[in-house]
Amino acid sequence: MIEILRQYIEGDMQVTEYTKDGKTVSHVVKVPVQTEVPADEQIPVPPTFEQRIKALEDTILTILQI
Amino acid sequence: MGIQRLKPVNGGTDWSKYVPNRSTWSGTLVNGLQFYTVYDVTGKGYLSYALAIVTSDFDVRMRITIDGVVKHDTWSPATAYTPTGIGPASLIDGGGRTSAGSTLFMKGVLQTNVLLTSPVFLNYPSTSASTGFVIIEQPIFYNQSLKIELSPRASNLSGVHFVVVGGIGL
Repeated sequence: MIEILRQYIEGDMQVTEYTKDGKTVSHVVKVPVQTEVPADEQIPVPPTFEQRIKALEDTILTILQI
Repeated sequence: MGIQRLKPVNGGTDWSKYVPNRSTWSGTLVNGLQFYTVYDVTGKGYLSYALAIVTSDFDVRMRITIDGVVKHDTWSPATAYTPTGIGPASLIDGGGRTSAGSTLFMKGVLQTNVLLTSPVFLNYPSTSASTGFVIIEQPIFYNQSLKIELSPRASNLSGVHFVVVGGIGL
């Protein structure tokens, strides 16, 4: 069974070392250190197809000055 | 003609020898066209899928190196929320949006919804830096290492979201 042996920060990466025998490192996984997203920060919702069409129409009408 | 007895066959994947591994990252890629490592594994394991999107109309490139060999190199379209990456077709859901024509949804794998507008599907391996998404219907196993890198088209490209799912073991 694979278990986490140790975790630490190395530069901009978070390093997790795994072990199968409890002693030696079998796997090393490195991922970027994630800056927490502030609780009040909303992840934007993508525009719908209809909203994209409407925005395109508005742009065209503005260019044509209708 | 009697019943033919088949020989026992070894094979299959013993999933009990693996543990799932999932990682997400969201943030800003600073220097245009520079590669940034977002997932780096040393050891044996497998890759189920990996996706990257940008929340603005810029494109991002994903490069996957397996056992030291580049096996995947694709760009996302320069359309917000349109992903690039690699994964099974089951990630993609038509969503019932008949008015959207070829617009598809890829759901539940990032922190936000993503669109797949006018998708270009590629075959594995795809290493020519094409724009599109690679469809695989089986995990990609590696024996020594897996590295996934992202590269932005523009400097200070914010709103980049990435997810990878796989496992390590054996």
